[in-house]
Amino acid sequence: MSGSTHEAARCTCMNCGYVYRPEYGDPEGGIPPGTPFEALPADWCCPVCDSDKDHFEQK
Amino acid sequence: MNKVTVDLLREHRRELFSPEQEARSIGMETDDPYPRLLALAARAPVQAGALHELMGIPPQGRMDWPGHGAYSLFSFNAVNQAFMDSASFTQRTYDKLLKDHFGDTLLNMDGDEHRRMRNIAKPHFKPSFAESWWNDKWIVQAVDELFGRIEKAGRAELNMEICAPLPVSVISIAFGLPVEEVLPFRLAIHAITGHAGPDKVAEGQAAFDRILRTQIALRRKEPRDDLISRIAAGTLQTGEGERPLSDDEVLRYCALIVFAGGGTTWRQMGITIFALLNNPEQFEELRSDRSLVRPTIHESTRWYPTDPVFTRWVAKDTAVEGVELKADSAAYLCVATANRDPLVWEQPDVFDIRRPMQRHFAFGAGIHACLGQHLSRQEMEVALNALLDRLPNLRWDPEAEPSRISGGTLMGRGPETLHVRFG
Repeated sequence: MSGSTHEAARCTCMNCGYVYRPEYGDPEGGIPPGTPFEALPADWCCPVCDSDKDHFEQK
Repeated sequence: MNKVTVDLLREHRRELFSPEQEARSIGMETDDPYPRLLALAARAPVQAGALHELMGIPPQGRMDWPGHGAYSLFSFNAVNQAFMDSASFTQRTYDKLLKDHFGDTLLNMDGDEHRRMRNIAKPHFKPSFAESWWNDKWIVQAVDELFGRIEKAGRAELNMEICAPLPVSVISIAFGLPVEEVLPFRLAIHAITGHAGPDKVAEGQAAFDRILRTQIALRRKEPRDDLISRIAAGTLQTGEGERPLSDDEVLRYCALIVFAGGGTTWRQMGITIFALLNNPEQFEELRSDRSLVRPTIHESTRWYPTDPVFTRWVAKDTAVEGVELKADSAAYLCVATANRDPLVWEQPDVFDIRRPMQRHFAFGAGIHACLGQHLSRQEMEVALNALLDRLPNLRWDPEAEPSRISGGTLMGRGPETLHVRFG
């Protein structure tokens, strides 16, 4: 996967700035590496500040 | 409509909302920590030793664990690792810092116990809830009342007239306390945490218990749309299933939230106004582009977090930035320097509301990140917008003593006063 594709897939929490990286997932939140942001469960929230998914923007 | 805010000037309660007096009353130093902290951070990202020792000052408050090792973490990466690895860096430091005051609370819990307890209040502090329930039911009215008291006067002292009364009123009233109990409750917490002198602690505890237990009992009988009712209705997951919270657990929960919610937002709002008034070109930019309100709050909390240092307990041997930290030691997480790490931010000492979004640690991070951070942002956002809408031509009062940031060297920093003119 190219670097630019990685960049496009990352999403940033607009409350705290945490960046969700699909290649890492969110292991502490039960999300395995390789999970795209769109495939995260609806009740998944930011591991840093608890913001809901809709507070993330693709950057 | 019933009033929801306290009038601190009329009540002559400046001593409750002076960062400097608050720090001095428990023997803390008040010097600006930044020159020494930034010099230490430039030396190495992780250093052996308690932070106060490295700074050459006595232990500050209870932030000292004699007989144990200690490490100070200064860089973004080091502080991030400590916040995010809650198995290696635990909350045991809070047994000493807060347990005497409030018993077992979220702050000194770890692991499943912490997760189960936090889950009770978590839905009531999520961003969507802060933007709806907190905002519509409490914050908008509170801000309107406070600005209504000052907007025709042409001058004000914003620390006492806006920054201090807003969060203490919102959190207390939203809990369900009657407005006449807001100040007695704040006075009780002030006494419990030792700020009124050692002989006042028991008195504070008694007043605190009386006020809260009365309200808890009332809500058990007749729930309302307030936070005491919501928390009292909470159930705790245990190994054997679910059980309701006891009155003691509700009381400790409420104590922690009111304690935390009344102090930090007050000082941080003051720091934000202080920074804007000292950077009038950015203030004008904000006035013309309200999409910058949230970034302004984000930048203020990065540039000068009210609490410069957090603590954790090293629970197992751990390497951080190439330094081996030994188990059973204290760790001082220097948020102030992590938030100004030159590897992360350009010109990190400059207050700049146009910075690209980048996470920082003013509200902590990881599973113990500040529960009330979204409420805090919401209060500051509504207040900042009111400041821009209702106090035109806002500027420092040239006849008043210049504003300065004080408070404890390692905790609870904020402006003593914010004397302004407008109109």
